[in-house]
Amino acid sequence: MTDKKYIWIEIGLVVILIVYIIFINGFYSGGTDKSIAEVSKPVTATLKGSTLSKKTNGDAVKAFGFELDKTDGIMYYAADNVMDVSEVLIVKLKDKTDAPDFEEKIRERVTNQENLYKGYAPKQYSLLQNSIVASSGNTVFYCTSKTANAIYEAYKNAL
Amino acid sequence: MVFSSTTFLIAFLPVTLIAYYVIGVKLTKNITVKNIILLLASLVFYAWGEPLYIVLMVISILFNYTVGRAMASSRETGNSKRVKAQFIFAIVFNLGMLGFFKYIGFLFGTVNSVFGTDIQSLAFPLPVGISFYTFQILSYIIDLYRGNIEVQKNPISFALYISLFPQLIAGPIVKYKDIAKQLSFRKENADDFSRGITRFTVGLAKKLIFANTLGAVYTIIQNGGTKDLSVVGAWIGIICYTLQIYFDFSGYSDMAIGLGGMFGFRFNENFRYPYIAASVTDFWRRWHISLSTWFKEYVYIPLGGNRRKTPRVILNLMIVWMLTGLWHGAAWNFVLWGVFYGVLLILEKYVLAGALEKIPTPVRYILTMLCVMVGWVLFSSPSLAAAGEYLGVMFGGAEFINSQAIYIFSANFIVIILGAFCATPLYRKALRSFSIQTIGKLKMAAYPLLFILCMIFMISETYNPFLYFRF
Repeated sequence: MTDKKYIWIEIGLVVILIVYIIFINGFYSGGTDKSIAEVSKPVTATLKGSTLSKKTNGDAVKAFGFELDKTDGIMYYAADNVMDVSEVLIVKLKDKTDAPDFEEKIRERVTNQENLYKGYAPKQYSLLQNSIVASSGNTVFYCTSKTANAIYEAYKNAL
Repeated sequence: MVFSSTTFLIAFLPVTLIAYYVIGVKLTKNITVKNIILLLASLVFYAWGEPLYIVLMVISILFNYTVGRAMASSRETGNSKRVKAQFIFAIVFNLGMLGFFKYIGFLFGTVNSVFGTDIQSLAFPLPVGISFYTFQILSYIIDLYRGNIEVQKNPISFALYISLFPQLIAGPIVKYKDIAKQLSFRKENADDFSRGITRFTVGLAKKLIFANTLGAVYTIIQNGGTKDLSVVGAWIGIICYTLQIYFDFSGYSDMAIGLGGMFGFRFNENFRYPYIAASVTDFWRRWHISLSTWFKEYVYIPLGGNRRKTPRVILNLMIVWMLTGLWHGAAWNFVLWGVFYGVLLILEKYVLAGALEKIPTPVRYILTMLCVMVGWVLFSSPSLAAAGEYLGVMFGGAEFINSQAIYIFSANFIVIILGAFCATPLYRKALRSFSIQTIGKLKMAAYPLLFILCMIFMISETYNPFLYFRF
């Protein structure tokens, strides 16, 4: 093969890389310009009649180990009964690149909860195993609930 | 996919081993077939967790393979200018790719905070293992340019070098020249296979029994914040993290070396009991050896190494250690961590060399460990402010001891002491008091038991990522 052919292959691969970056940017971008209150509204509507009550940002920080200064708003609902693991959390981030870190902290929390409840509360353990952790652009979502799928749908539609 | 998962241990590894030994070793006895099996397995392994980024790795493989061939072709025709142009193109491509996927968010964040702007950057999750495989590729390109190695003409062998699953995600960083021969010829045997299994088991135990348990203690302490933290609590926390990161990373390296052995590869050691180092210089000869030697060979020595005048050597050291910090993560605390070690190494080399010699060795061990633990605070903290707060508590900025510290220590002291013991070669010395036959029998019984224990730990834990995956 001649040197020129190699160069054309290299240029072709660089072009493919650029197209690929454009593609994954579309895949990973998303999120919302809406405030946390606007995103939360339809989600909290799905929680009516549940055992969950609204918690403070401080509660979320304590439970998940978040850094508050990296957030642009938090919606956190949890059960008051310590034997109920149900929780719903939405975090709007200042910088969407922090989303993986927040997801990791949420997963650590889920793991800790699983370890706590595994031995003696199989129903709660099962709920934790089916919990949903997801992010979309600058928002991170977490839910452990019997109606997790419906709550997740409400969150996605709210973005 | 992580090594310490049931998917890997029960499905992926047995299937890959059977395919490799039945089809590759017994039926065809063909190195290309063996390499194809390993390459396919490696691509599945990588794609399992992040299927989108397999494309990025494949583009990188194809690009660098082509550049390698182009450099060799230009060299054959005596066109040294084109060789150099190809080399620069490859360096820009690889560092550009690493910079784009790993550092662009950090760069924009820094610009925004310095200039008060609000520029939205492109942001992607970090492709797993990109820092490791990019450095492997660079070792190939640089050595090829220097004329230290022959070009790899076989695309399967080249792709396998980049993607080989045992060390793909968290090292050790394998230099091409160290593995080139093994890509075209390797002889598997029962001894290496057996040693590979035992080494893998040791690594698995380090990860599941020690790293995860000690990591959970540190997470509890860190998540609690510094408000209720006592001096003793802060020290317990950082001791746990110090042990966690060692068992986590060296455990992964053990597993990688063990898996390599099962498939006939021999990788260089990545750790040599770093926590028995008697100086910071000694520590870095024992910790993440493949990274230190990479920087030494491809950055420090080309910058002039020790051969220049003192100010230039100091500058070279600072450049290397800033880059080492930055390699670990796109955040200022990692840069500071690198600078911290740069300064310590310069002090040891030029200021404290004579004084350290006079200090009794046990005191030097303690001083080294103090430096290392302060370093881990910088390394593990989510921000510089958090690191500052934690260090403040460690060095007296809080009540000396409280009920939290007593509870955490009493609940975990066995694993902390056992971990500290196993992080040193003391257990090997203890074994020497037995005869070789007794040691053999002990090992025969210990490894299966250890493996069963690991399985119990693994089944009881649902999520156990490796710390070094994020680099």
